Amino acid sequence: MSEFIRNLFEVISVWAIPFLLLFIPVVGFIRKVKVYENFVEGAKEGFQVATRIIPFLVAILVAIGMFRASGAMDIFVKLISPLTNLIGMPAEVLPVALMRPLSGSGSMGLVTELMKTHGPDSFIGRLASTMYGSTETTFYVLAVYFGSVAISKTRHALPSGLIADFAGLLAAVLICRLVFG
Amino acid sequence: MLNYVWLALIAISILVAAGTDLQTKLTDKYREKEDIAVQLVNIETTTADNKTALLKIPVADFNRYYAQNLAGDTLRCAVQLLMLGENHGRMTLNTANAGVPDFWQAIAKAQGHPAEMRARIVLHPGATPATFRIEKVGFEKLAAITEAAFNFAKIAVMDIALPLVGVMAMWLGIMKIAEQAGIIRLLAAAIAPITRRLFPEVPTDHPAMGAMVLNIAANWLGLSNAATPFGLKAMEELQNLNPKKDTASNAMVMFLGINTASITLIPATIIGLRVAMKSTNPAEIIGTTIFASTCATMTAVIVVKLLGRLPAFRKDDPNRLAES
Repeated sequence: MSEFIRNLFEVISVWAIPFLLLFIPVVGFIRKVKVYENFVEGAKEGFQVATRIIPFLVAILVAIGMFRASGAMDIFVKLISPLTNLIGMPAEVLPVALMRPLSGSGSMGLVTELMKTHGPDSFIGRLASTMYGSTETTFYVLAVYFGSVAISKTRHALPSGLIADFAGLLAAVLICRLVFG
Repeated sequence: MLNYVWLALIAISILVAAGTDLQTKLTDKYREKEDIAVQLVNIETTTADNKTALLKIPVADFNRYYAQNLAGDTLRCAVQLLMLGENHGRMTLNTANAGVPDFWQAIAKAQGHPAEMRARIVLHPGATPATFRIEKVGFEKLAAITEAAFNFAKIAVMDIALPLVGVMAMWLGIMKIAEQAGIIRLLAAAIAPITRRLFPEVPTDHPAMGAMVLNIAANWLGLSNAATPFGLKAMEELQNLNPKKDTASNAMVMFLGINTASITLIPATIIGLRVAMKSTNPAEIIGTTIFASTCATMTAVIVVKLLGRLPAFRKDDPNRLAES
């Protein structure tokens, strides 16, 4: 069964994009849409949108890059680890949990490091993988998405995102304890 | 809100970096002010003032000097000497050589040239004992965060925004076709029962709905490079509906909540990493990831709705302001 699901997901992840790239233009063609002209028309906006987010990308990434390089994360880990021990989260994965909302590449590096030391099939390796897979880089997404449309008052977006991240982390610890514990 | 977080990140980075550097200086962690006794054997002259030698130090001494706990008997490292006088000169230790302890590598890094540790060395004539004192160590962490700031400013443009231009153009092109062919309208209508509740302010047939649906679908399937173009497009369309252009509308907050805590059916990146790490079952985390990410998404939806009712956030609701 798990083998079947695994194969199914593999097929989806390989075929999804080629399928879309064929399916949409073919349907368009059948419905008499001028596919080539419309593609180019839509694509024109690409440059504009991608360059519009540059100032926001620079602002958020510079701050996150500095934070990562400063070693402040180690201090946070020391402060918070007594709390996370209570919920059964190993201290080793705490940096992943804290880094995940900030930086995708940063948390990716931490997960790689953990798998190197503990092995990908250890409890820590599996938990770190689950955590990485189940949340997003909240700060980054908020800064860039809101930035792209020049919104400065973000209201409850950040607290909601962080609470949801936290719920995701708790759920990851819980389910990994149950399944792999 | 982002103002505070942004400033806090920068302020904390600089405080921590400066504090760490200060502590390194005060406790003389790298023994900048002390002469370390070692032995130099196999001294050979290569050119006039240049010599090569083998530096030996008992591990016990090394551990005592630097408060380390290395195992072993004697450390041996090849060094180059540049003689400045009869029995003193500059020593460089190439950190790429085998057997260089981590601590010396750290010193080399702190000196600002990770490839070699530099020191002043004094030879004692007629015998092998010598003493060295490392050259000044810089403000290591402050230098590191400065470098990181410039590095990431460059990454933001060269590695993220510019490559995104092409990907963005491709997906927006495909999306335009889908729009013209009516595919997006069909898709949006199919899931209207759900989206009507999540985004009551957005008309079901509005282009924002199509872009949001495509973004969420791309996230579910782990197609992150397709998700961003649709997401940015969705924000643009939502902004067209937004009566107050500098404030996030309820629909935007809900969309970003679902986006940042997205259900992940195929965690493609992490499975790839586990394959690279030679996991015996790389895909075994799919089930746990689906569970944890679904919990996150449901929490996001509930929390966004609940927090949106708090007076502090409600009073800025653009749609409410527009009505009154």
